[in-house]
Amino acid sequence: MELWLGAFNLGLMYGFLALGVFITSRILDFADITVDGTFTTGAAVGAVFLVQGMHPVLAILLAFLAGMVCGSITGFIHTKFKIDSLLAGILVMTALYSVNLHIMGRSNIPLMNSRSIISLLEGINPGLHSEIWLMIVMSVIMAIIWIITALFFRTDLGLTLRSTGDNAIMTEAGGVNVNAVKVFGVALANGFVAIAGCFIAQYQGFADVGMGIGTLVIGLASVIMGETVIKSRSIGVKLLAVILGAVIYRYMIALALFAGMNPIDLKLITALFVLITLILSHWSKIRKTRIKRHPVLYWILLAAVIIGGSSYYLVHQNIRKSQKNNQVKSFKIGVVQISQNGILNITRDAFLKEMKRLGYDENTEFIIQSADSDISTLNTILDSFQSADCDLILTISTPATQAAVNKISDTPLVFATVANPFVFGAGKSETEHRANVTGTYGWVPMDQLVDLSQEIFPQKKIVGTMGNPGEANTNFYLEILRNTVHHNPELSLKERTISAPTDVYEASVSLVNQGAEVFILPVDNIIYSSFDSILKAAAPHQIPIFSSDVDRLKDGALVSYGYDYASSGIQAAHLVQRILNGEDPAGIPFERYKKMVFGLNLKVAHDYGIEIPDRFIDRADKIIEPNGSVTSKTPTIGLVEFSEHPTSTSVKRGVYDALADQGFVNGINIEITERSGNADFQMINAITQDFIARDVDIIVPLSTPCLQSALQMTAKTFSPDIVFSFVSDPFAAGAGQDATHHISNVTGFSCVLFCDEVLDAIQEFFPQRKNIGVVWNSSEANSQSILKEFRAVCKERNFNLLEVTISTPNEVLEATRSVIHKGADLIMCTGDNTVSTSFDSVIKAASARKIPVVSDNVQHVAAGAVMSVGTDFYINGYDAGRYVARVIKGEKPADLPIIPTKQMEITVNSDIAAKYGWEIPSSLLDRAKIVGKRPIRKFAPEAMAINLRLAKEYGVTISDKILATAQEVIK
Amino acid sequence: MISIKNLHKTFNPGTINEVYALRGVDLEVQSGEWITVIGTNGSGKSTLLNAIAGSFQPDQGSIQIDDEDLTAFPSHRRAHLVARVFQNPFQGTAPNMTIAENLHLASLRGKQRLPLVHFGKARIEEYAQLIKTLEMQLENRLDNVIGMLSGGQRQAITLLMAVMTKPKVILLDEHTAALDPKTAAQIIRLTRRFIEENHFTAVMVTHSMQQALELGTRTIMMNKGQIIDDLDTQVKKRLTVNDLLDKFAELRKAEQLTDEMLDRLRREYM
Repeated sequence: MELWLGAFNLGLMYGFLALGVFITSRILDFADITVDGTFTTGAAVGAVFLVQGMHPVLAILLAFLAGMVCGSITGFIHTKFKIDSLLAGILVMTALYSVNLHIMGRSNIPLMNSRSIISLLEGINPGLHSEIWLMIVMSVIMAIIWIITALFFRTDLGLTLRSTGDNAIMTEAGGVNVNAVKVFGVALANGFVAIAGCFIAQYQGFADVGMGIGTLVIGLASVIMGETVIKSRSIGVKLLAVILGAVIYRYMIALALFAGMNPIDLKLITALFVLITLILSHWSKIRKTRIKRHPVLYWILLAAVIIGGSSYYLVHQNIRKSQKNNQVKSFKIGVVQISQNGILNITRDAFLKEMKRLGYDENTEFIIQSADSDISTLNTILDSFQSADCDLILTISTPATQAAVNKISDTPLVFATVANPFVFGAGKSETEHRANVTGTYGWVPMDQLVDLSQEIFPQKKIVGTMGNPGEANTNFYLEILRNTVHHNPELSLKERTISAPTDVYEASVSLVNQGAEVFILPVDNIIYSSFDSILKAAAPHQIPIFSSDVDRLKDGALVSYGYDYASSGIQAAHLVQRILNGEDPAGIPFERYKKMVFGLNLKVAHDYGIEIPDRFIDRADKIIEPNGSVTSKTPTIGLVEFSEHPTSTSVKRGVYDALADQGFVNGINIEITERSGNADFQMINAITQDFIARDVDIIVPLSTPCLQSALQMTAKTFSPDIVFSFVSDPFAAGAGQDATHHISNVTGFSCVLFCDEVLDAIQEFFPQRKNIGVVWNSSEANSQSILKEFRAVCKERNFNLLEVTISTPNEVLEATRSVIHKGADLIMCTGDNTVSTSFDSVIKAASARKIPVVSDNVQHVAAGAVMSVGTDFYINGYDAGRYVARVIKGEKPADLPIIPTKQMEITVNSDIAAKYGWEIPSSLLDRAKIVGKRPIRKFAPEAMAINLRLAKEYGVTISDKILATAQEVIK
Repeated sequence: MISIKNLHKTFNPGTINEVYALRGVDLEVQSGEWITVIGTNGSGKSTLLNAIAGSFQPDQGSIQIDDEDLTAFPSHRRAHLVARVFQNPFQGTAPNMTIAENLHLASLRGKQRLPLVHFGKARIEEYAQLIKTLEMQLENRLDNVIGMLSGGQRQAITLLMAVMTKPKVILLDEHTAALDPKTAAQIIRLTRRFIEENHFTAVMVTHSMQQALELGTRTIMMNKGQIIDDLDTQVKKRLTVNDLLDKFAELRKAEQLTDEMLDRLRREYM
C-alpha cells in the first residue's frame, strides 16, 4: 500500500520538477541542465530555514526564489555571452554544488525534528492514513498549481514566453526583449524545480548535497511520458499531462522495484524508455503516420502494465499468505544501501553470511537493494520494503539509514556502517533512541591515528589530508582531524577537497608540493576507490600513508587503523537475530563496533627505509611482511572434533556464536579450519599435526581424545595455543593439575558429569530401578575419570553399577545387550565418545527390553533417550568460544582458568515416556525441559479445584490420586 | 519620416567572410511614401531593411524615424514604430500557437507584457472580425495552431499582424518571393489595401521589376551597398520593365557582366 501511495505522492512532488523541465525544454526550447543543481538548492535553502524554525510555506517560497536566482544566472550567461544553453547550464550546475554545500554548511541536514510541510499537514490530518492524507492534500496543491500555471500561460507575459520559445525572431520583431524573457523563463522553471527539491527534502526528512543527480533526466522522462500518454495542443492539458507524467514515472520505478528489478538498472531503463519514445515519435513523423494513433497504443500499454502489476501483486500476496500458513516461521528482511561501494558491500556480505550461519537461510527472504546514489530511489526502495511486508529492514550507510529512520516507524530498523547515528536523529544516546530503530555504529578515532603517526614519526609535523565534503562522514572525520591538529601547536594540517576520483591525484601532488610529510586519510568513498592515485603521488617522496581504512593496507598504506567493516555487518546480524526472536528494538541499545584493526605494512616500511619499532609490530593485528606475504594476523583456528554427531555440532555452534558475538566471523576476520576425526584416534593425530604444520594460531579440540592429541603434539613447543571444549576431565587428559595450574598454552571449559543430579533425577523418575548399566571405552581418559567418580557416588547412594568396556563403536550393541543381560534395568550414557558415536545401538538394545536410557547429553534425548541430565553443551561451546576470542585478543591461555561449564539442564522426552508408559513425575516436570509431540498436561495442584457433584451427574469417576492433588474439592 | 544618413556596415570584419554590405547609404523617406527597393543579389537591399529594423548596429551613420534617433536601439525597442514582414512565411508567426494567440501577441506590439489575462472572449471576437478582412475563411479557425496553415495563409496573417497596431513604418522583405504566383498576387492585393487604407510609410524589397514599378510611390535601385538610382512617381510611370533591365545591362557593362549572368538576371526578374 505504502509503495503505491508513496509513489503517487512522490510523483506529485516531482510534478513541480516536470513543470520546470517542461517550461525550459518544451516552451523555451532550452536544454537546461541547471536543474540538477537547483533541485538541491531548493532542498538546501528550505532545510536551512526550516531548521531555524521558519514556517514551511515561507521556506518553500524562499526555495522558489533561490531556484529563480540560479536559473536566471544560467539564462543570463546564455543570452548575454551567447554561450550555448547546455554549456551554460553545466557551468551553473557545477558551481551550484559548491554553493549548495555553503548554503547547508555540511553535506546533509536532517529535518526530522523540524517543522515541515509534512508535519504541518499531519497536524491537521482528520485521522486518515498519513500517506492518504498527504495524497489528498498534494492533489489539491498540484491542482491549484496546475490552474495557476495554465492561467499564467494565457496572460500577456505567458503568451510572450511561449512565443519566445516558438519563434524568437517574430517575438523580437514584436517589441519583446527576448533575452530578458528567456532569462525569466529559465528562472521560473528553476524556481519550480527548487520547489520540487524542497518538497522532496521535507518528505524524506533531510536535504543532501547529492540529491540532485539525474534530476534533468527524471524531469525529461516525466515530460516525455506525459506527452506520450496525453496528446494535446492545449497548453493547459499539456501541463496536466506532464504532472501526470511525473506520477507515471514514479509508478514505473515503484513497479520495477516491486517486480524485483535491480535499482542499478533503473537509470538505464529510464534512458532507454526516453530514447524509444523519442525514436517512435521521430519515426511516426518520417512515416507521416498520424501521431494521434499512438496514445491508444500507450494507453493499452499502460493498462497492461497496471493490470499485470496488480495481478502479479495479488498472486504474490496469495502465495505469500499460503507460504505463511505453511511455514512455522519465515522472515522477510529488506537490505538497502545507498550505493554499491566497497565498504558497504563488505558490510552487506558479512551480514548475509552471518545471517546464514545463524540459521536464517531457507526460511528467510532477503531483498537486497542499492539506491545507486539516488535518494529518491532510496525512498521508493523503502516503500517497496513496506509493501512487501518486510519483518525487518537493514540499512547500510548513513543516507539509507537517515531516509529509513524518517520514513518508517512501524517496522524494526537495524542500521550498520553508520559513523554517527545521533546527528540525524536516530536517537539521543545508545539506550535512548527511536522505538523501532537499533544498529551498530562507530567512528574511527582520527585523533589516535594522529597520535600513532607522531609516535612512529616524531619529526614529521606537516600532515596532509583530503576528503569529499559531499560525504557527511568525511566531514565528520575531517573535523576530528582538524581539532586534533589544532590542539597540537607543533603540527600543521594541509587539506585538499576532492569531489571525484579524478581529483585525487592532483590533490595528492599538490599536498606533496606543499610539504606534507605524512598523509592521514579519513574514511571516504572516493579515497577508497582511488587510493592508487594517492600512492602514486606519495610513494616517490616516501611519504607514509596512515589510512583509516583497513582494506587499503595491502595497497600500500604504511599504517591502517580502523574498523573492520565486516564486523559491522556481523554485529548487525546479531541485533537482527535478537529482534526476530521477539525482542523489542526499543530495548536494544545501539552498539559500537567491537573490533578495531591496527595494520602495518612492513614492505612499505622497508621500501622507504623506515624502521618500525618492535612494540608497534607486536601490537599490530595485521602485518604485511617485507617479502609481501601477509602474515595477516587474521587469526587462524584449527577446530577438531572426535566425529560428527549432534552434540559436537551443538558445541561447535556455541563456539561460533561466542566468537561472532565478539565480532569474529569465519572467513571474514578469522579463519577456522574444521576437521572431524571420524572416531579414529590416528586420524585425530594426523589432523592435529596438520594444524601445527599450517601454523594455526589456536587449536580448538572438541572432546577429550582431540584434546589429548593436541596436548601431545604441542608438548615440546607449547605452541600453538589450545582452547578445548566438550571435555569431561581435562586434568585426567593431561592438561594440568587444577583450574589455575595447567600447561601454559592450554585452557578451556570442561563438562563434568553432574553425578548427584543424575541420580536424583533417576530416583524421581524410576524409583524402582536401582541397577544402572554403563558401557564405556576404556581407552578414553574422560570416561575413566567420570566412571571413577560415578562409581563412588552410586555406591554411596545404594545404586548398583554394572559396567562393560569396549574399544570401538562396533562393539556398542553387543556391550549394551550384555550389560542388560547382567541385570541392568536402566542404561546410563556418561559422555563416552565412542558410545555417543553409535548411540543408536544403545537405543536398539535397550528398547528391545523396554529399558530406559538416560544420558548426560541432551542430544541423546532426540535420538531415543528418555532423559538427559548434564551440561548444556551449547553453553559449554559458547564458554570455550569466549576463551578463544580472549586469546585472539591477546590474553594468554595460562591466565585463563580451566573450569567446568556451570549450566546444567534436564530434558525429558515425553514421547518415549508415553510409549513405554513411564509417568513423568510432576517434580521433574517443573525443572525439566520437555521435548516430544505429546502434550504433557501439567496441572498446577495449588490451583486445581474439582467439582465432584458435577462429576457424579456426568457419571465420571475421578481417581483418588488426582483428588489428592486438588486444592479444593466440592463434594 | 525616415532619415538615413551615411550608413556603413561591414559583416565579419577581418575574416575570410568579410562583406562590406552598406557603403554610405543616404535616404530620406517622407511620411506616407511607399518605397520599393530593387537590386542584384548582395546589393545590400535586405541589409538596408534590417538596419531600419534594428537587427544590427551600423558601423557608421545614423537612422532617425520621426526625428527620433534610433541608431543605438535594438530591434525590440523600435517595434512600436516599425513592423516587419519576412520573406519566409514561417518567420512571421509562432507555429505552435493558435491564430488567436498570434493575433493577441501582435496586438501587444511595443507594449509591456504583464502577467495579466487580457486574452479573453471579447478579444477573440475582435480578432475574428479582424481576420474576416483577409477573406480567407479563417474566422472559424481561430483555435487552430498556425503551423497547420498554408504558407500563403500564414503570410496573410503576418501582414495583418504587422499592421494591426498601426505602426509608423512597415518593412516588407520580399514577402511574396516564397509563394506561388496566385498566392503572391493575393498577398500583394492585401498589401496594397492595408498600406493605402492606412497611409503607412512603407519600404518594400522586391525581386520583381513588375512589382517595383506597379507598387509604391518611389523606387530605389541598389548596387554594391549603395543607392545608384532613385525614381520618383513621375519617372516610374514612364518606365517599363525593359527600361529597368537596361539599367542592369549598363551595370553589366560597367562591371563586365557576362551574357550568361545577364540571362540569369533576366530570368530572375521577369
